[in-house]
Amino acid sequence: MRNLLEFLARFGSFFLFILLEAVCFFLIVRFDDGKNRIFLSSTNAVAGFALKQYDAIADYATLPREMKQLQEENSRLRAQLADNYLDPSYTKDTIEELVRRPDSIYSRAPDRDSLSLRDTLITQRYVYIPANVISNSINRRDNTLTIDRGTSQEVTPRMGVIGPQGIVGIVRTVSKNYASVLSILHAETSISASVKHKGYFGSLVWRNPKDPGTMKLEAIPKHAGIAAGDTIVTSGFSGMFPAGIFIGTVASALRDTTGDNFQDITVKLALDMGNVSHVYVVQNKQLEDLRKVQPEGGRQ
Amino acid sequence: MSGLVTLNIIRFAVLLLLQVLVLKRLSPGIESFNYIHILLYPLFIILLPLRTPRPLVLLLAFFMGLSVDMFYDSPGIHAAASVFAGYLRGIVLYQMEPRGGYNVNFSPTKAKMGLRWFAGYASLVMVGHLFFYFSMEAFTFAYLLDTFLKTVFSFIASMAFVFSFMFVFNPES
Repeated sequence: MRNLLEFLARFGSFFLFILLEAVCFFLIVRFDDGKNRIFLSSTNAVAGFALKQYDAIADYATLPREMKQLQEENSRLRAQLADNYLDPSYTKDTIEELVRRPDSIYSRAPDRDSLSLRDTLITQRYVYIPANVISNSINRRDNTLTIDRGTSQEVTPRMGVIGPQGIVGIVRTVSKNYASVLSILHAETSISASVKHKGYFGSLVWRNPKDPGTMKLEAIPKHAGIAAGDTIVTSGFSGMFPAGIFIGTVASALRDTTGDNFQDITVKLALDMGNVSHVYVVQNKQLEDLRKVQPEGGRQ
Repeated sequence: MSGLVTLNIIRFAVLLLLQVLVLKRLSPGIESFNYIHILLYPLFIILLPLRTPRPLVLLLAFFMGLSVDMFYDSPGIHAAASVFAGYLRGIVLYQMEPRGGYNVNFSPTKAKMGLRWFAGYASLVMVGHLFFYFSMEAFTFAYLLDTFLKTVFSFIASMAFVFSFMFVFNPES
């Protein structure tokens, strides 16, 4: 017995060391790989409070940048005001009313009949619902956002969400006033994107969880000849996002050596996912029509 | 004695908050150069008083690591590295014992033990901590070069913060 006690006094800390490391290994292995929900949900109640308080203070630091982004967006939108365009959804009556307004540009039109033309090619298809991000993360393997718009604002699942300089994610679940958005930085997200001016399209996925600034564009054949600097935009195939929304630029396009027929393309996102607070939910007015011929929902 | 306990509790809280609220945001820092992770919280383990029993050092290190893990969403990784640093601390202290032995009432600080001694001691514990941390993070030896590079770059950055802390506060214990 005395020997045992002496033994423990001498090597006790070593055994404690081994024991604690074993506990740590158990934690790492057991909770790794996205299965860490139990641990996270219990700890985030504590950690979440502290982070939220800190965020409230730190947000002031990003205000100037946010304001600049909003200003840029405002000026872009101002250029698209209804007075600048002939809105195709106007009926003949509203056009005539528009023409009667003395300050309207249409009143100067020489041939008023030509204005009554209803152009079915450019009927309004997408409507944007402004929303605020109230929770966001970028440092996990699977990230989600929460926005403050829900069913009462006509937000439904599988709607696209875009930010000031690119796409943000896809609405997953909605409640009355809130919606949970699958971030583009999520293992399950796959966005149909195309290379501007080159026409090739592929799936944009997030493969490197350490880097929230880049994504991979997959399934682009080698002969496409994509080079660094090429512009990546949404393809619009899914009907969730309008076609041609700027996503980012190609950071590197490697001909990987694994023997398959596709290029290894890294896309640098234009939107800083760590700094989104004002977004727009994309509502597709023709989604019902699209689903009739594309029943399974198509590509994202 | 109770003053020493209070001091270490405060140091635990300050270093933890500094790590998870400020340094965590600095760490990923430069895009596509993800080699610098500034870890300052091991300083808590480094500065524990010399007479702290070794099992207690291990337990305190474990709780420190676990607390950091909560905020980093990485259960076990920081805790594993901290426990390793706690154990390594004992070995380093034994190896670096001055000729006359330690004054057990001292803490291993720059003020009491001198800059040279402290620099060597803190560096060894920090290197051990960082290397173990990055090995655990990768959880494989396939990225040995990556782990090595991360250790080197993070060591330089972290030690800069450790020395800043020591020179600003210059704690006696």
